[in-house]
Amino acid sequence: MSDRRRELEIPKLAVENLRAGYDGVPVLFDVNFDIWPAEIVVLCGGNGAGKSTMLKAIMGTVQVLGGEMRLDDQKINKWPPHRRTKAGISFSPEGRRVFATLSVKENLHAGASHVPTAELEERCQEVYEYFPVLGEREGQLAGTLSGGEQQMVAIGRALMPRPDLILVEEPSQGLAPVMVDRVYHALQRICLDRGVSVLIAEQFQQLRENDCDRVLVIDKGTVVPYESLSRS
Amino acid sequence: MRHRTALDDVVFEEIDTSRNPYSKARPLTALLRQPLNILLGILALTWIYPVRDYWVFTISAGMIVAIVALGIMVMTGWCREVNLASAGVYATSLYLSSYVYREQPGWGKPLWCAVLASIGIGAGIMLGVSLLSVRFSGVYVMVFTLGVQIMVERIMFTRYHLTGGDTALENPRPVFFGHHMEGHDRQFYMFLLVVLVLVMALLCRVRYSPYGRAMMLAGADQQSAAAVGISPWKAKALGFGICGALSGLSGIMAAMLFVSAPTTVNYQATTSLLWLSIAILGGFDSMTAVVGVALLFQGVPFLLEKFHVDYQGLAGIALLAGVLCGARGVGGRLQDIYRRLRFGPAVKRRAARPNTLTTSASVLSRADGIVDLAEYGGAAPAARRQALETLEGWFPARRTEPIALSAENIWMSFGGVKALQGANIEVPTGSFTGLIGPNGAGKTTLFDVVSGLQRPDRGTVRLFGENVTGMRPWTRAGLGMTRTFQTQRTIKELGVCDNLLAGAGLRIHGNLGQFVIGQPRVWRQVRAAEEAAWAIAQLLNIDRYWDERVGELEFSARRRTELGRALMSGPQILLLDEPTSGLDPASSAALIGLVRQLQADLGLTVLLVEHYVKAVLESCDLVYVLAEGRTLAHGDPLAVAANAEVQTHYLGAGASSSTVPWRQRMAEERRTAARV
Repeated sequence: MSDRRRELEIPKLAVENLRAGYDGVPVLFDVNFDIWPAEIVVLCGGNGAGKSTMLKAIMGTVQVLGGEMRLDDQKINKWPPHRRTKAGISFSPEGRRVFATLSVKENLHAGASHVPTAELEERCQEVYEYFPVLGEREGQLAGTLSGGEQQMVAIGRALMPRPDLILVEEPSQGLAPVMVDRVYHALQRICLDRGVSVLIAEQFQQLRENDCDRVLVIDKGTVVPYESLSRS
Repeated sequence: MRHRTALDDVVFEEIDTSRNPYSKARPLTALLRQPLNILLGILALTWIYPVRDYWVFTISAGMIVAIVALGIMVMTGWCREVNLASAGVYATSLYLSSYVYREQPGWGKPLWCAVLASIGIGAGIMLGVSLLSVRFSGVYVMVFTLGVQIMVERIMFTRYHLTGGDTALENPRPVFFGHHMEGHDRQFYMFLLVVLVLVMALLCRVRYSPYGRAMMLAGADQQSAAAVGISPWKAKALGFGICGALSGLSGIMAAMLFVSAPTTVNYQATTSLLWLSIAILGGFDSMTAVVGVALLFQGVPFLLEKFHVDYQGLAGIALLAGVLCGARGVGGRLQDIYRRLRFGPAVKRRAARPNTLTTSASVLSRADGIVDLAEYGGAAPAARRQALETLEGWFPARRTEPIALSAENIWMSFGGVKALQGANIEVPTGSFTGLIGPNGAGKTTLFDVVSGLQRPDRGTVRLFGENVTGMRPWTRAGLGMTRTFQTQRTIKELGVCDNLLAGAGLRIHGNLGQFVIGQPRVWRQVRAAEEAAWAIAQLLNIDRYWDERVGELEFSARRRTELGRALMSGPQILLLDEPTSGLDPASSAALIGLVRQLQADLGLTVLLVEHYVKAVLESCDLVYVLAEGRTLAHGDPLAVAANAEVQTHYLGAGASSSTVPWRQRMAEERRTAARV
């Protein structure tokens, strides 16, 4: 992304001095970062570094204790999760939490609670465009899919409301390298075609520097610049 | 290359395993050593002299309820099956057994016949119910027990010659050594107290014997119980049987206490619910709390009678309070407080362990795979040697057959999905074999087939040359094969110690009776098991969590606890299903390294399913690649990694090989597509 474009635009999501945590105990401290439209950012960290909490804070399921979060320059600190979804943030949780006893299509529909019924079919087709294998198996129960396909269902479900910012939690967890390739490829196409910003939380082990635009490293609850670390 | 860490400078003190601070292998002695129990005992004995008669009677009734509630605790807390028939079973044995020893109307048999009949009736009904739990569990058992309760109400309670109906039936009190207890409530209180203490003592022994831990493990997770050689059905049936027997015992006690047979409205389904709530409120690992709650449930409504407080309403409030206390109930809370007072707060306890390196730079450098094992298998050489010596005695003699495990031409399908299509695998004895493959390749299915959780459509599984294809998983575990699971399956509410010992059942020989009467020979084995568990905890570096509840531990410590439980069964061959899933790369590499070291030290055979390809290729002797239910390739790790088919099916281009930034790659791709 050129610097010029950055000057002209406001970030998709701006996080400033954010403190967030559970039961009033902060887990994230003074987190600062921006996510720009149509870029892929990977948030990297070890176990317990605060990756999930960061995503949950953006999604609104973790209490914000201080600082500010802005979506398109609107302060969203106090917004409940469903309002954030309507405003264009979408979340694909870790561990591929699909509804095992529902079909692929029903799973996708579950992600589109405020989409008019008439539009559902069209939205599903959009998802199948990125994940053709889901189109082939739209009637199959999600529980009988392979791990990679379940991950696709989870991401597809998050795509149903046509988000501007999609948060993907550990997409490569428990997937074969080949499947990880496919998942990333689809995310890249979505980003290019529809200008969606993608924030992916990953373990270091799964970090693919050439598959994203930027890497944020999160450690002990705060974001540290990646470049400086790789040199130390 | 090995980095020096602060840990290298720490001198580990040798720990004397025989003086393990939390030993439970002498459960009764351990109980008696707690001054609080002696104090409570004296209080229970002397309390009755200053109080009024009606209090003695009320508390006697409370003790009878306590015996029922202890039974429900075994079934609901240990086996995790809800019992809504306790009042029905209790009433059945009350009415039937009093018929046995009552003169008119009745058979007038001696009292001991009635006691045996009562216990037998209770245990019989619940064992019948347990037959159902073979196929169903959870909510089905709950509904079924409710059905039993309703059935009892309809069939039993309407027999007026048994229940008395409107006419009062007289049940005589027992005669001891020529002394008649008729009209002596205080003496009967003492008698009940002795019975209650006996029940608690026996249950305490059951709890710390392999049988108790088997029930708890089977209750927490049936498959992992099967993996360490416990038949989950038998374990559950035992829990159901104990619950029924105690209901029966309290039934006959009640017949004697109340003298005139109580009316049937006392034993409706709501009473079952009330008694269930006593067990839940008390917590599943504290008998004293259960007894205390039972006494309160009898005593408090009596105290509050003048305020016209509804008995059932009080029960509801108490149940809510119990829910607020969490799954471990009041007893669990009290234990937490006691631990905090004695050993300091959890934060402080954990601070005692060496700090892991978590600064950003070190996280990254460790991600490169340069990991120090000290953090994971950090026992000092001397302690380590001692631990290995202890385990030498614990593990059975190693088998010498050249092939430990083989699966030939395995076919397996679920509905239309063909999971395995002629997979072959052969694990040489003493090897460290890896099994990799894309998602949906059938790795976990093959594991399930090999360990006996699934029966294949076709094919043969051999363990040390013996055909085990049709064998139950727990029988296979007896032949020396155990496994771990991809998801975490521990008993979260119990400590590391209990979790490890839950795996020891196969190596301890003795029947329930021997444990209950406290035969020294069998309890010596439990002490040996405790020492082995301590040694394994040291090797896996979880000894510092010995008495910490597993649910509160960090993720990797829980993983190692599961691994330790599998090792406690003394396996010849250990199957590990993605032991590193959910761990960061540093911990993953360290865990694999640790397993590799243990495998060499203990002479194990290991079969490992793993997605962390790098670790598998680096540490395994032999690698199998599975794709679409078939064995794609096998052999030396380097050869497998170089195999072209493996690369296209599994390893893929990957980011590691792609040096072109994705936007450039994508643009290239689109240009090519446009040209076509």
